[in-house]
Amino acid sequence: MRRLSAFAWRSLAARSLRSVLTVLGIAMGVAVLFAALATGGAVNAAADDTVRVMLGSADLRVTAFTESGLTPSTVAAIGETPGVSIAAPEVERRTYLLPGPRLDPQLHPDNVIEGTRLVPGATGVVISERLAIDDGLGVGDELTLGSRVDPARSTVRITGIAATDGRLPGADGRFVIIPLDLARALFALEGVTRVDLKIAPGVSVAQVAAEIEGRIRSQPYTMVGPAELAASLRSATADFQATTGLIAAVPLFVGAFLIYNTLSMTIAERSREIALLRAAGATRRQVAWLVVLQAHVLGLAGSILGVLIGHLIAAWLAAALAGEAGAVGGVAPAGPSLAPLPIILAIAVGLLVTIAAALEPAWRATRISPIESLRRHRDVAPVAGTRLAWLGGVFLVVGAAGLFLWPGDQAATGLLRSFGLFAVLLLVTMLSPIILPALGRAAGLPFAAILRAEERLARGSIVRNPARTALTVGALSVGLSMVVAIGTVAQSDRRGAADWLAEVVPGDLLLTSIRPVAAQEGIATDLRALPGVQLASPIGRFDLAVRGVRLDAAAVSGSDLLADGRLVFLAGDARTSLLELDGTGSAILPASLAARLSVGVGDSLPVLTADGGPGRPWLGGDREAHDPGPDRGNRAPWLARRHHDVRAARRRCVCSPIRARRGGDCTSTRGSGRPEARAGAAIPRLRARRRPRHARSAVLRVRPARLDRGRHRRTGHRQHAHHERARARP
Amino acid sequence: MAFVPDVRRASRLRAMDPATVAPGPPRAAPGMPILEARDLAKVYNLGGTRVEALRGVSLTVREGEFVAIMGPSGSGKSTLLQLLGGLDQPSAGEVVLTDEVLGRLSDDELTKLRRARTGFVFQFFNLIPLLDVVENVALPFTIAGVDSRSCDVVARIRDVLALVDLTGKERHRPDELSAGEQQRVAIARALVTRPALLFADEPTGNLDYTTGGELLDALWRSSDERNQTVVLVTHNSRAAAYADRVYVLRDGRTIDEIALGRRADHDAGPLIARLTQLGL
Ligand SMILES: Nc1ncnc2c1ncn2[C@@H]1O[C@H](COP(=O)(O)OP(=O)(O)O)[C@@H](O)[C@H]1O
Ligand SMILES: [Mg+2]
Repeated sequence: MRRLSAFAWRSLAARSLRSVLTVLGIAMGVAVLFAALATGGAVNAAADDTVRVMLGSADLRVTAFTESGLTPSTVAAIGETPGVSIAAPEVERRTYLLPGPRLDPQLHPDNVIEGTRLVPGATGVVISERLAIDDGLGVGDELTLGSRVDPARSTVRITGIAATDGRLPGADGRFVIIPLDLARALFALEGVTRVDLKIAPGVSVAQVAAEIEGRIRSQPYTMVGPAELAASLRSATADFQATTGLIAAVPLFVGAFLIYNTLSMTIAERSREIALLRAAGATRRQVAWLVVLQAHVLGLAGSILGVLIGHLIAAWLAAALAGEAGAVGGVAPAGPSLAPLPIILAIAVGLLVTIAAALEPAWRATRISPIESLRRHRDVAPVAGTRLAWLGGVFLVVGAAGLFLWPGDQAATGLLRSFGLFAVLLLVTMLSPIILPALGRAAGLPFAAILRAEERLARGSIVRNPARTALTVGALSVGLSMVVAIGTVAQSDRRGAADWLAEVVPGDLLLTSIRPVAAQEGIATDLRALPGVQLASPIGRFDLAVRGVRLDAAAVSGSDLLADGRLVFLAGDARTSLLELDGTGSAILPASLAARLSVGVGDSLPVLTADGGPGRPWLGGDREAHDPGPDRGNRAPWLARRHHDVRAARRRCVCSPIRARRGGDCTSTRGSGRPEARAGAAIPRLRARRRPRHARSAVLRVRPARLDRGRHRRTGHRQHAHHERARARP
Repeated sequence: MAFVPDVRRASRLRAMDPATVAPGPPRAAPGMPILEARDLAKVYNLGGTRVEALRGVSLTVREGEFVAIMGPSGSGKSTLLQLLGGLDQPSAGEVVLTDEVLGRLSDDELTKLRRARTGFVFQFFNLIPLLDVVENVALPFTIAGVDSRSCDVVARIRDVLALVDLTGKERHRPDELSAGEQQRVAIARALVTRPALLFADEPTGNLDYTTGGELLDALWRSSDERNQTVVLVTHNSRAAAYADRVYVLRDGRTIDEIALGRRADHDAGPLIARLTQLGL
């Protein structure tokens, strides 16, 4: 033994099982923490990737706010704006082959992996690799695009296959790039979806943006750059990261408790050896250092192992997330990133917690008197539950340190919640010496009558050796909290991916059309005719701009919603408000949005309508207005207006998701009805989607503020709103 | 490559050498007082009851002396030894060890003084079970941060193990040794730093007659051959008969001081005669 530190090693090795258990305990805590950090990092990286995929090398994107798109004059005005070097108009439409005629070869140059890319005047199309693989298509094959406007031109030849980026949100990697004029013809479009801009060197993006704002006054649009887009995507994932960070606190705490327990036991067992060291001339500092060193060894081993395990968890999480379209805030992580920062952070936190947990045992070790070694009998001092107030103080300090260590862009509320969690855990730990004997007695009661002696023995060993019992309990809780942690994360991801509509709107089966379906097409009627279908309620989804903020909105049938009764009203009368949806037209807002917009029942809200003008002010209301606005006939829509009204306002019907109450299951509905076949060319592909079971139970169980907790929180639109102002004609 | 001596290590070793800590005259003439106790009192408070373990003990130990402290069980011998060796603080009185007044030292200073100038042998539990013989003997160096594999330390360990007759058992663990061998390892560890004072508290208490004799012989050799100052606590007159001088303790007080002189035969006869006179 060359150095005293070797003594720390030996004493750990002498109790190898206990040491291994402790290391595993810390490893689990650090693993969950690292998984949270790495997944968060991966999600952020994916957000950046998504921005790259979406914008290519464009510096600014002007997007039409309305379905009709940016008019040719607007496009021309944008193109003529000083400082704009390339203005690439694009049309994006969803259709049953998911064509995405969107990528301008000048801004997205390198993604054609086979064949040729589109050049001006080309007649062929480029399809994505995913689509080519999925549907067995190749260069030279013909493809028929869904168009009811110009069927003659809808059959096109594939001239190239583009590298698919599966992270392109919403597209599932299946897209077709077609020439702009063909897109216009097929979809009977005047305008374009958006114009991507390349800014000339020496001109700032802000200058051009200001210039465009001055020029385009005839129609609403939104304008984003890569930075804003990335910020909005990142903020959409912050919630997820805060949650995972919070979850990591539990196993970390348990790991710390294990360390505390292990070291306390070691010190109690080795008190005579420590006294001997003191008698032979070891200073208090040396003794404390021995204890901290042991903690350090355990903590470092646990942290490194934890990072490895955490990497596996993160990979598993990423796979789970990738399985869900849309994933977190519309961004699917590519896989765990092994960036140095999360590794360093996870190990640092693991070590910090470990050493913090070792401080009290270390201090206690220094209080061992050298004459302890003279005592004949080794009496093991009571360990657990004695100086837990100390421990509490230590964790408070650790928590405070954590506040500074935590990545700045994550919600501080998550940390506050972690604090609460720590407090509860600490309380439970402090009470455990009281709880354990009682628990032992209670658990033993059934056996007491039959196995008197055995029961007393078993209980005795629990009570007599509280330290060991606590260690076991600690190890168990680590395992348990791991399971809960992973389960919760997976659950919250799945829920995050689930459509908010699925939670808010009634029904057992959600059919989503990939294009707007007109009421005259009679699909709802066809669906109602299917055996087992009780009710088919059309739903339209669209965007709205309220005070320059883009919002998710849906048009629903109020009476169907009323019959279902799952919307819970915090203000206003459910029946009146819902029936009013079908009547004069009113809106129901989720509580969070109402709070953000500072509107209440009876207030009116100006909204941006389809023709780009400021809409007539509608009165907001989920209750009879106590203070009727100036024009009671028009009410502010948010969640819902009767879909006919919306159709009228927007001159088209959006009833894309159709929910049907069904008797049979998904396949039987499709098998017996084949809505695709019945609807003919109009709906060649209906997406049938079975509603996730948990989503339903959640809606039914958690009644209050259901709407508030709806998934619009996760859809990203709310977050977009902060960064992406819908610009209206003044 | 030039050889650079480790100055720090060398100076630490010197600090542990009695020759530099407290230089003294050779064996023949007893040296200067190296340890003095003045009116030592120790009161233990045991749940409300005061136990007066020591009630005013004064004594002097000169350099190179072999002093025994005798007395019946519970008379305060161990308490006295702890105070003399700086393991505990007296309730009253003071201890002067190699010119240092122990009560005036901080805990750290006292610890370092113990490390540099004293060695301890207790009745039980002298060795760390995780460490082998050499590691246990080298412990004071390890604590002091001196590399126990350096040549001088290895030489010292070899030397001190030879003194206690344990050559060949270097790599044994304590539990592989007999009780007598374990106590001799403890003496080796206490002597390896060449302390100014060796304190031993009933080192033979656990041993049978023969092994006890071997241990006492080892102590005697260290005293006689190396001029080691020894303070031995014992209730056994045969062990006390190895000493030059014996303090007799009863109820926390010194009731007698018996000068036996240096005798190679360790004849316990005169001591027993005197103790009988005292009614012990
Ligand atoms: N740590 C202690 N706490 C309380 N009382 C003690 C303690 N150590 C010793 N005593 C008491 O002091 C007295 C002297 O003890 P001790 O010095 O061990 O005697 P000896 O070594 O001569 O047998 C005894 O009565 C003993 O009970
Ligand atoms: Mg004693």
